[in-house]
Order: sequence, then C-alpha cells, then structure tokens
Amino acid sequence: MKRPQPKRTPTTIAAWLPWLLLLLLFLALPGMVEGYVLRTFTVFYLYLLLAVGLTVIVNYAGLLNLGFIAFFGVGAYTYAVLNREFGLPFFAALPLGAVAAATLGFVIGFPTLRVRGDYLALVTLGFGEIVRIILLNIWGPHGIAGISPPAPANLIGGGENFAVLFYWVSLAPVPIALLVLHRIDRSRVACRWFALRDNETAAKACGINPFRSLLLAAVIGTVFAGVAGVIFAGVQRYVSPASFVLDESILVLCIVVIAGGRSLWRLLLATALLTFLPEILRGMADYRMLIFGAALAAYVLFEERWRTRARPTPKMDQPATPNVPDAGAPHELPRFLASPSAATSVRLEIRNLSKQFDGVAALDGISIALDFDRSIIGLIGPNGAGKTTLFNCISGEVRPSSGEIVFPGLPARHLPHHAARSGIGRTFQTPNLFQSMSVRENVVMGAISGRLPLPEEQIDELLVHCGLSRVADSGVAALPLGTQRLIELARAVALQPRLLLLDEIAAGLSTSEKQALTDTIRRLAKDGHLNFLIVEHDMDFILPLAEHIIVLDAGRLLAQGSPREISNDPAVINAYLGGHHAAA
Amino acid sequence: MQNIVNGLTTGALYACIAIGFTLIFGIVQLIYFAQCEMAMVGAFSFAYCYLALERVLPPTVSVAIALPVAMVLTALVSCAGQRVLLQPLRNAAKVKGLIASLGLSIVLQNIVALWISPDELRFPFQIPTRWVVHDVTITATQLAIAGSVTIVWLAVWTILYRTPTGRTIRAIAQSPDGALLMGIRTQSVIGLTFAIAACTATVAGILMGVYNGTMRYDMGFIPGIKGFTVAILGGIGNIKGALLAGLCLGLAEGLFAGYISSDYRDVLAFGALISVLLIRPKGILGEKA
Repeated sequence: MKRPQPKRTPTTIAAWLPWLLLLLLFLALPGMVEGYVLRTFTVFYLYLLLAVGLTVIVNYAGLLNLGFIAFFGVGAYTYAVLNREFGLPFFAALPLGAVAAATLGFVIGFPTLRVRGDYLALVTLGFGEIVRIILLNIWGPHGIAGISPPAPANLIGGGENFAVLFYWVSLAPVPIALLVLHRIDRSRVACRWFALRDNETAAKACGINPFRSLLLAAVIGTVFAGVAGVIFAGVQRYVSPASFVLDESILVLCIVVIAGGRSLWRLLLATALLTFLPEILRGMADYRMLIFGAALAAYVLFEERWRTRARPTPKMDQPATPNVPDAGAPHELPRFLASPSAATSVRLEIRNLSKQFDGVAALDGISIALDFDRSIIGLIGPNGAGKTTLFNCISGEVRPSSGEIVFPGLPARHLPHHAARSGIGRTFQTPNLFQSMSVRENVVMGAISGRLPLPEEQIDELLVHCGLSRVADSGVAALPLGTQRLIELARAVALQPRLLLLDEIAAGLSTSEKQALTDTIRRLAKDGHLNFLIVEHDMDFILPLAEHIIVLDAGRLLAQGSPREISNDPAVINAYLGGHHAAA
Repeated sequence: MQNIVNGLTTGALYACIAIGFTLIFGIVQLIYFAQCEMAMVGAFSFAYCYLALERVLPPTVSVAIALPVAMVLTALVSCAGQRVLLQPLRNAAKVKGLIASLGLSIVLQNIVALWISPDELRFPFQIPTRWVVHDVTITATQLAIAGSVTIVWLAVWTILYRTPTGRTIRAIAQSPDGALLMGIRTQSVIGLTFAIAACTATVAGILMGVYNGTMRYDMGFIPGIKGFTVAILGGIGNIKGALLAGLCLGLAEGLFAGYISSDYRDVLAFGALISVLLIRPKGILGEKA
C-alpha cells in the first residue's frame, strides 16, 4: 500500500495527456463501432462508476463492503419507481438517485461503522441481502418480475439512437468521477482514512474523528453507486432484484481489490479486464464467476507474498537509526513552539473521578487540580495504582464510571479525538505509530487536525529538533524503541498541544537515551512553552525531571508535592516498598 | 405447533453449521467463508457416493460407507483450502483471509455448477416415514436430524474438552504464540480443526439434502450465513452457545414465517446477524475457548 503524500507534486500536462487521448477515443467511439460494442462500453462505464465508489470505501477508508450493489439497486429503483408513479424524467432522477443512495449509506453507516474489519463485511452483506429481499417483496407480484420504466419517448428515435444516447449519458459521469477521485486522493480526508486504517488508536490521538471520517467515505462511495444505478435503470428500461445480487457486489469488489491502491490507471485497467474479458471470451461466459473467484483468491495471496518479500532492508553502510539527536543538530525550536500564539498556562481539573472494571475500582474518587505553566508534572504509583487508567480517562480512551474532567475546550463525556482537538496530546506505553508511513508522515499526521495549520518547514524544524532529521524519510517499523518514542513525542508536539501526556516514555531505554529524552522534554517545556504530565515507573528518571509529583495508590490520591517532599514522604515509601520494609 | 417442530429442525441444522464456524473462528479469528460451501461439498459427495454404492449394496450399508467417504473428501477440500489460502495469510490483515476464503467459496460453487449441474437436483437418499401426533406431523428425517446433530455436538464437545487434542485446540484459540512455545504443532492442529469443522458441515449438508429432498450448488450459502449468525449469537468458540442459539434462531424463523411473513423470513436472520454484530459482538452467552 502506498503512503499518503501530503507533499503535493505539481501535475504536468504530460500526466494529463494520456487521459485526454483516452477521453477523445471514448468520445469518438459511437462513430466507429456498432450498437452492441457501445452497449458493452456502457456497461464498462457503469462498473467504472461503481468501482470508483467502492474504491473510496474499500481502498481508501479500508471498510470491506460486501453489499455495495444494494446502493446501485436503490439508485435504479429510485428512478424506476418515481418514473412509473410520477413520470419523473431521467435527468431529474439522477440527483435523486444519488441522494437516495447516499441517504441509505448514511443511515446504514450510522450504526454499522462502530464495527470494523470482517464483522463490518458481514454486516454489509446482511444489509445488502435485506435490501434485495425487500425489493423482491415490497411490490408484491411486481417484485420478482421487476419494474420497467417507459423509455423517455421524447428523447429517442429508435433503438439505435437510444444506445448512442445512453452511451453519452453513461460516459459523462466517468471523467467527473475520476476527477473527484483524483481530488480525494490529494485531500486531507484521504490522509485521515489512511491514518485510521493504519492505526486507529494513533489516528484518534492525532485528533481524527473516526466515525465522521468513515461515514463520509461511506456516503461519498454510495453517491457514485446511486448515479450508476439511475443510469442502469435508464439503459435497461427494466429493473429487477436479480440485478442486485451478491455476485455483483463481489464482482465490483474484485475490480477494486485487483486495482488495489490509489492508481486511477489500475482502476481503469481492472474494470476493463473484468468487464471486457467475459465479452471477449463469450464461449466462456459461464466461467465468469469461477475465474473471478479464483482471481480474487490468487490476487490476495500473491499480493501478500509480494508485499512481505518486498520489504526494504535497512542499508548497512550508514547507521539509519541514530538513538540520540543528530550530531551538531541545532537545538533551535520550531517557530510555533518558540513563540506560541496562545497562552501557555492551563488548568486540568479532575473531580471525583472513579472507574470500575467489572466491579474492581481502578480509580476511586480522585479529585485534583493541576495548574500548568510550562510545567512538568510526574504521576507515579505502584503497579495497579490506576495511573494508566487515569491517563486514559483524561485522553478519552477510557470512559470514567463517574466524575468529570475539566479542561478548556474539552466536552463532557469526551472521546480521544475530542481530547486531541482540545489540545491534549499523548504518547503510548507501547508506541502506536503509523507503520505504513515514514517518520515525517507520522509527524505530519499529528498536525492534520491540529488547532493551527503547521507549515512544511516547521515540520522539518521539529524533526531536526527531536533529532529525527536523518531518519525522516525511512519507515518507522524497523527503528529502535527509543527512536519510535521520539517520533511519537514529535507527533504529539505537532498537534500543538497545551498539555502533553507521556505514558512511561522512558521504559526500556538506555541511560544515554534517557538523558537525551530528559533534555528534550525539559527544553520543550521551558523554551517551547509546553506542559507535560508524565506517568513513570522509573524514579531515577522522573524525580530530577518533574517539578511536581502526584502519587496514586490503589485508585486514590496518596500524596503530592515537590520531588524532594515525595521522596521523603513515609506514606509514599510505604506504598512503594510495602508495609514491612517501611516499618523496619 | 407445526411451526415449532419445523423451526427446531432448521435450528438444529443451523447449529450444526455453526459448530464448524465457531471452531474455526475460535482458533484462527477468521471468518472462513468457504465453510458454507463445505456443507454443499459434503452433500454432493455423499449423494454421488451413495448413488454409486446403492446399486450393489443395501441402503443402510451404502449410507454407512458414503458418510465417512463424504467426510474425508470434504475435510480434504477444506484442509487444502486452509493450507493453500489461509496459512500464507496468517499474519496478514484478517480481511484478506476473508476475501481469499470468499474467492474459494465462489470457485467451489462454480465448479459444482459448471461440471455437475447448475440446477436443483434430487437428493438420492430419503427417509419417507412420518407420524402424525395431534395434527402435528413429525417426519423420521426430523428425528434423524435431531439425533445426528446431538451426536455431532457430543462428539465435538468430547474432542474439545475430553481429549489432549481438544486441549491443544483450546490452547491455540487462547494464545497461538503461547501454544507454539509449549511445543504444540500449531499448523497441524489448525488443519485438524478445519477437518473437524468440515466433518460437521458434511453432516449438516447431508441432513439439509435429506430434509429438503434437493441439493444445489449454492445450497450452502444462506444456511451458511445463518450458521455464522448463530456462531456469533452463541459466542465465538462457545459450542454450547452455538447449539442454543441455533435452536433459538430456527424457532424464531419458524414462528416468524408461520405467523408474520415467510417472504421476509431471511430478513429476520440477517437482521439478527446485524443486531448481534452491532450490539453484542461477544454473543449472548459470551466467548469461550
């Protein structure tokens, strides 16, 4: 899978030329060939429209949909029924069909997008079948027989003209659809989709609203299906549920899976292959589904084999993985940090927060108010004290059982993306990075929903500052843990947060890495006007770093104060070392 | 009353298919679409084997030979599919395994449609006996279904919970890596699980053939989807749940078809599938390895 490229490459005439030539060829076609070939091309255009729609859903948003043809059916029936009942003309039905399909996409997407992956595939399959069964029965005896909208009589003068007319009608939306797809490919929403399908937890921490983004994909995708459906009904002048069976969904899915990515050419070729091949091999028409099924399985298999083999191996001649900031790196801060646009002081208030997991209280009525002003506050406590639960409650990953969290701009009952958008950035105990993206793209993703747009050069400055400039363009998967933690930190900083939550960021790092990390965090806080709340196990790391320490024990607040007070507090020593040791 | 009897019969069939789904999903966390087709492959191989034997042997003996032959054939097909398609995709996104098994499903359907027949065929083996008790007709087939499904269920339960093999299956279902570290040959156990699932599907397919009197290349699809619904409803990996949920779905369908509308009967099943996946993906009875 290719990576999203927020860096835009200018499109040249040369890139457009083949498309223009192809369009000219399609435009000239009615003068060159007979009606039968035109009809085949009409079918090709319809499948292409469907494929464009499903590409958005499957290849961009990563939602496997096995009931896509239902939206096509809804478009077709919208025209057929409205035409039969109210004599609605074809061109008026086009937008209505699109709206009907998109509405259904919205209505179905609303409940279903809570599930992912193969569960979603089954849910869409179920919806597809339900729509088909309803179409089959809702008009009583009409159901199986289908409905035939009368030909738009005023527009046609015989069968031959009809074929040519609908050749144009089906061709017209194709360039528009491809342009729209091209535009989507370069949009921010496509970046969001890629982030979501790569690592949803990380995407949410970058402020991406998964539900809204994916619902948008579902609606955009179904619009294409709706338009194609209306045209189909117009061409066929007859619609029946038999046209909207699972096989058709699978056929379109085949096209989209084989097209595989974001290339419009591959989409075009895959559609051409799967629509023209059965026409060319007419004698083998029966074998159509057999070949498609085999192609689908074989493609997935070989794609996987190829993908795992083609993984780039790191070059040996230069160490691509510096654990410490680049030698001689200028420690100047990116501009957005050096002179922040908003006030840096912020207050986080936790009121009577409790969280039970199956009756076990992880947090037991914690109340605390923290005032940050370029501060580093540490959160410590023995295992099971509820540190990570408190963290996850603040960042929205865990919904508290009772109590509230007050932070400027943060809604009540918030979700992770709300927290990110109100300026709470976070890192994870086990780094959650976008594995399919480069280091730079990971950091850019942090800024995608940031409160202010972050120019390209400031991203570069941030990378330099965090010592990541040398690995900026390599993939993240092979980098050592320390570097991955730095990338996550940089990504959270790119969000331009008012508060950064770091979850055991020093765990598993070497002494020198810890020292470098300490320096980076202190610099970001003091010169970069950032505020940190750090969960940490490692006392040697956190005591010199933090100005203020909060101690949790058994879901309750045990103590708080300066590092010196905390390290001498008998209750803290007791909790950390156990009663017997403290008593001794 | 008749609706209840018929509903419970179909419910038992769904449960029988669901056992296979739940075993496979439990062990590889994958929707093995082709499991639907295993019922069809089982029914067809049984039918042709039976037809061949029937000419020379009495029916009972033919059944006794045809059943294991069909099971072995189906298990071979299923294991081959598993080995060729799913094993290389073990570390890939789960959705890819679903797509690959969907491809296998289409291929199997079309092989049968093209080289055997695309039409509805008469299922050669029938049990004609029927009784009428207080206006309720109970056929010998229905009793046979109840009996066979009980046997299948007990057999799978015994394998899972009373044999060392079953313990390895449950171990892999809980933690494949852990099982591997304990020296369990994961791949062969997964293959074995697919074989067991194929055997249960074979029984389900044959029973469907006997019950409906017909067989067709796509006979596995709708019951397969319902079997999957049942597997989810009962909780993945939970074979007790599968049995219970199967009977519930069958009963609900029977009553729905009898009192409300038989046209929309499948909507009920798909609606149940969607609701369960959306509201309680862990199933009514929860997950169990």
